[in-house]
Formats: sequence, C-alpha cells, structure tokens
Amino acid sequence: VCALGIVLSGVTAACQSEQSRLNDSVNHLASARATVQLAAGQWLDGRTSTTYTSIALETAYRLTETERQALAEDPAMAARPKAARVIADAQQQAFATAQLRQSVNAGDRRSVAASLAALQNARREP
Amino acid sequence: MSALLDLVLGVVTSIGGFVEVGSISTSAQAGSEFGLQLLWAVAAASVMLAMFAEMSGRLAAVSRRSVAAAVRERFGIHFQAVPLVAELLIDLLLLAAEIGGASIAVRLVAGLSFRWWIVPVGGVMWGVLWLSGFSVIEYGLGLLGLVTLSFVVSAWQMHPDPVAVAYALVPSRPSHDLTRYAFLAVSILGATVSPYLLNFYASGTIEEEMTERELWVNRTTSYMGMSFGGAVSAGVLITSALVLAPRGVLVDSYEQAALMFAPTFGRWAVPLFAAALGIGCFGAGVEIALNTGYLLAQVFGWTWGANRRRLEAARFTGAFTVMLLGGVLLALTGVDPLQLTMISVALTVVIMPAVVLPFLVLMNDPAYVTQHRSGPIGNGLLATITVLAGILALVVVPLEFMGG
Repeated sequence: VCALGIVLSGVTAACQSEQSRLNDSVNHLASARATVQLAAGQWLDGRTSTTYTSIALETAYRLTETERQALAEDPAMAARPKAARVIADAQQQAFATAQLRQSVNAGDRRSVAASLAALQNARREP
Repeated sequence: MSALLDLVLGVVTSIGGFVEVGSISTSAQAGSEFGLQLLWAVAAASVMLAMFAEMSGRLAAVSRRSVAAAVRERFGIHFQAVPLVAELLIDLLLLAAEIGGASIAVRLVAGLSFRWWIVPVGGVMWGVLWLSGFSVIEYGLGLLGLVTLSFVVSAWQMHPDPVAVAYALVPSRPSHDLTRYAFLAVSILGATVSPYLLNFYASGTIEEEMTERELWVNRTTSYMGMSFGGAVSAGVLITSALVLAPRGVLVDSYEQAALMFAPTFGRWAVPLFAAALGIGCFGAGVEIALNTGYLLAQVFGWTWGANRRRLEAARFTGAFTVMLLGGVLLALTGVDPLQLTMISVALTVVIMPAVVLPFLVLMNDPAYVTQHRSGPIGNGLLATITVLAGILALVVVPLEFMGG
C-alpha cells in the first residue's frame, strides 16, 4: 500500500498541469490582495491596531512575493503570456502592499484610503 | 457530590482544551477553501475522539494502567518500539507547532517576529510543568481555554443557514480540487484524534484516581466534553466559511485567520483570536510535553506522576524537559508554524493505525478491562476508519506536498 501510494503520488504530481499551478497561484495572489483590503479596511475603521495591521500586511506581502517567485523562477512557466502577466501584476501588488504598510506604520490615513481605492480599482479593470 | 464536580469540571475543561493549533488551522483552511463542505469531517473526528477518550479512560480506571504501559505489557517492547518512536516524532513536530502557534498569538498583539517569543513561551510552559500538579494543568488550562468558545459565538452571530449546516454533515464531492479536499479531511482527523491524547487521557484518569465505580463519569465526560469541543472546532470552520471564503481570503497564515473575527467582535477581534490561539496552543503544548514524560516513564518503568515532587520522578521530569527543549529548538529553526502543523497532523493519520490497533486489542482483553469490553460495532467502526484514513493519508499527503 505504501509503495502504491508513493508511486501514485509521483505520477499524479508529475502530471499536474502548468495551467493548474498557474490557477493556484492566481487564487493565492487574489487571497493576499483580499487580505490587504480587509486588514487595511479594518484599520481605517479603527477596528484593528497598527501593530496587527502592519503584521497582516507584511504577511500578505510575503505571500505575494512567494507566489511571484515560484512562477518567475520556472522558465517554462514564465514563458507563457498569461503567467508573465500574472508575474507583472504580482510585482505591482507587492509594491502596493509594501507602500500601504509604510503608510499604516506612519499613521497616514489619507494615503491608506487612496492606496486601498487604487487597489480596488485595479482589480476591477479587465 | 465529588463525582458530580469531577463531571462538570471534566466536561468544561474538555471543551476548553479541545481546540489547539491543529484544529484551528485545519478547520480555518477547510472553511476558507471549501465553505461548509468539510463540516462532516469535524463531526466524524469529534465522535471518534470521544470514543477513543472513553475507551482509554475505561482501560485506565479498570486496569490501573495507561495505554503505553498496557501495550508494553501485552505486546512487549520489540512490538512497541515502532509506534513509540513514531509517536515521539509526531509529538515533537506537534509540540514545535504549538509553541510556534502560541508565539504567533503573542506576536499578533505585541508585534516583533514570532521567533522572539519562542524561548519565552517555552520557558513559561516549562515553568507551568515544573510548578503545577495535574489538576492545575488540566483544569486551569482547560478553564482558560473557554475563551475558544468565541469561535462558537462568532459562528452563531454570522447566522449560518441551518439547512446548509445540516447538509454539510453528510460527505459530498467537492466542486474543485479533490486532492486538497481529501488532504484537509485527513488533516482534520489527524488534528482532532492525536495519538498523544489516548495516553494523556488514560494517565490523567490514573492521576485523578478514578475507579471502576466512576466509569459513568468517564463516559459522560468523554462524550459530552468532546461533543461540545467538536462544536468549537465546527465554529472555527463555519466562521471561516462565512467570513473569509466570500471575501476570497485563503488561510495561508494565522495572521490571515485572525481576520475571521472582524465582523463579530470589531476592535476585540484580533485580541480575542490571539487569546484563543495562544491559550489553545499553550495548553496543548504543555499536555504534549507532559505526555512524553508519561509515555517514556510508563514504557520503561520509571516513577511518574505530575502530582509527585519533580525530583522524586527525575527521569519523568527529564523526559518532558528534553522534549520541550527539542520543541523549542525545532520552532527556532524558523519553519512556518502553519506548514509544520499541516505536516504533523497529516502524518499523525499515517501512524494512527500503529497506535490505535493494539489499543483496540487491549480493549477486548478481559485481563485488562474485565467485563467492560468494547462492543463489536464500535471496535469494527474505529478499526475500519483508522485503517482507511491511514491508507488515504498515504496517498494524499505525498500528493499534496509534491503538488506544492
């Protein structure tokens, strides 16, 4: 049973398509963006502390960067036009998240609100 | 009157001690990725745990032996070596994950990297183990753990559809990613039915000097406590499904999971989540370390007992101290506590048959449980589920990790 499990796992993992990996990355990037929106939104409403919000944004930044790097370091994946777009979007998202974090740490509510609105608008664009 | 007090305390502390790093992370991930669809796994695992807890308490009350001591006596040390080593390894991973979880809880409110909090958390755990008797550890931490009921309050406040909740208690095929769905189902089982709980529960029964005449207390405590405890785990899953899933937040970290309380508790959301995570992980960490002392002392015939003076049971004390040190060192390597948790709870299911099957044999041996043997239906059901879950884990755990 052990051997069968390992063999089955190996075969299936090898067969996992690039498309499915890309979809996974897109979902996790969307999750990191949703985390940024929720955490920063709560901070603007005065519901979460600066300490926590900064930590949550740092986590979202790291998750975004992990996904971006995972896609970018695989040449076969990076050669796909859709993957290249996702990598570029992820880089922008990471930058926006880092800036938001800095604004939260500085207590700059206006800048946080503006960045959040920009992030939401960017998401709505096709 | 004393038995009634034991019963109430037992039920209350079972609820408070139910949720820890494994159940929070698996249920939160399940809710954020599959909505209510994995609620059946939480319910099934809670029933299994209640049955195992009742059995191990019964074995200890009737035979005056813990699970580890009885397995050693019945099957010999050569047979026990493999499950013993496997259990110690899993316990070490789990302990490191609990220490990491408690450290992240402190980080959520105090800031700094969670690694700064690992040594202080480990130190306080050791202090509690050194200074406290069994009742303080069991009841004190269990009562503090009642803060985890905030998951139930949160789920209730989100007004879940009762029909959808009832429907989710029946297994159904997921709309996407079958491997991930199976992996999470296996992980929920592993997070709920940890092998250390069997021996810890039996050792506690001996520490509390429960006798055969009090088997009804053991039965009621197990079934009521674990059922209500399962409701807390279900609360985590339902809250995650109703708060995080609709917003597209997947739980890749505890920092994200903390947001699940936002709609219900407002500015108290993060402190409450941190308290629930921190106390749950801290309590479970203390229990895992203590169980290492129990396990090794009972297998090798050393003097043991949390109610003894520590130097009187030096090897027992040394065993839990070394385990705690190992957990702290492993956590300090910087492994992501959430990933460590998911690995350890999934591996738990792989080793579960090696721990559970000898235990089920004992529960049918009149030399240990006299006339209080388990029924064939319960035995068959537990053995079948344990073996099937072990086989499923062998397939989906490598798939999950190799698939990234």
